[in-house]
Amino acid sequence: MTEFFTIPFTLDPKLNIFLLCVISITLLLVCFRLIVSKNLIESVLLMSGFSLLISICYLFMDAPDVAMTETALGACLSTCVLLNLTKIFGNKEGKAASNPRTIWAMIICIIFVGFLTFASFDLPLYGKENTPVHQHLSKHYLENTKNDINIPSVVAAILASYRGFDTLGETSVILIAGLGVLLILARRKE
Amino acid sequence: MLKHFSIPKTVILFIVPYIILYAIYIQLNGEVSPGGSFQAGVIFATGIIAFDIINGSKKTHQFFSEKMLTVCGVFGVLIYASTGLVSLLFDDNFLDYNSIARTPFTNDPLVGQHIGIFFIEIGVGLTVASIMCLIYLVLRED
Repeated sequence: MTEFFTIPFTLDPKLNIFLLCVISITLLLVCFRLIVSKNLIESVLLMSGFSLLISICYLFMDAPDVAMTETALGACLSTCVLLNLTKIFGNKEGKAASNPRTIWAMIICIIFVGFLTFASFDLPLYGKENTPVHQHLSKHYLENTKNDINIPSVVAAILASYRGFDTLGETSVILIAGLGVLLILARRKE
Repeated sequence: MLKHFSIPKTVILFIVPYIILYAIYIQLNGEVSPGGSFQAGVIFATGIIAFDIINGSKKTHQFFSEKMLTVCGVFGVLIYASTGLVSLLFDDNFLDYNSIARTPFTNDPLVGQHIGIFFIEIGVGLTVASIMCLIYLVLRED
C-alpha cells in the first residue's frame, strides 16, 4: 500500500507550520485592508489576492486539487467577471463606513469568532489518523481502491466510480446554473 | 480589450497555448495525478478568457458563441449519462462500469472501470469548460 500511494515531495513539518502561520497572518492583514477599502477595483484585486494566498495554504496542507480549483476559479475567473462588472458600473468611491450599526455588527462578529474558537478546541488535531472520521468509510475506500478500481488517485476513484451518481448530479447542477445565468442575463436580439 | 498594449498582448499570446495544453494534460492524467476533469475544465476556461481579453468579443464570438457553448455543456452531461446507460445493456446497475469491457475476448472489470472513468471525465470536463466560458461571456461588457 505504501508503494501504491506515494507522495513525491514533502516539506519539513516545522517549516510547513511556520509558512502556514505566515500566510494566515497575511490573510488577516488582507481582510482588514478589504474592510477599510473604498475603491471598487482595489477590493476586487484584494479578493483575488486572498484567493491566491488561501490556495497556497491548501497546497501546504496537501490538497493540490483544491488549490488548483481555488486559483483558477477564485483568483482568475471570478476576478475577471467582477472587473468586467466594474467597467460597466464605473469605479465609484464609496463613503467610509461610520454607521453606528457597523460597531454592533463588529461586536457580534467578535463574539461569534470567540465561540467558534472555543468550539475548535474539541476538534481532533490536523493530520491525526485515529479520528472517528477516518475509521469508517474513508478507511474502506483507501483499502479497497487498489482491488476494485486500480487507479492511483483515490479522489478520482471516489468521485467517478464509487460515487458516480453524485457526480452526475453535480454536473447537471453546473449545467442548470449556467443555463439560468444565460436565461436571465443574455441580451435579446433586436 | 488589450489589443493596443503590446506587453500584455505578447505575454498573453505566449501563455495561452500552454494553459490549454496544461488543461488537456490534467484531463488525461486525472486518474494518476491530483486534479481531475473539473479542474481541467476551469483551467481551459481561463485560457479562453485570456484569449477574449486580447482579441475582443467579436473574434471570440466567431469560435465560442453562446449557442455552441450551451450545446457543448448539454453534450457533456449526455456523454456522462450515456456511459452509465451502457452498463444497463450488459445487465448491470446504472453507472457501474465493471461490465463495460465484457466482450468475447476479455472480461476484466478493471479495464471496464478505466474506460468508464475516462469517458465520464471527458463529459464533466466538457460541461464545466463550456459553462464557465458561458458565465464569463454573458457577464461581459461589449
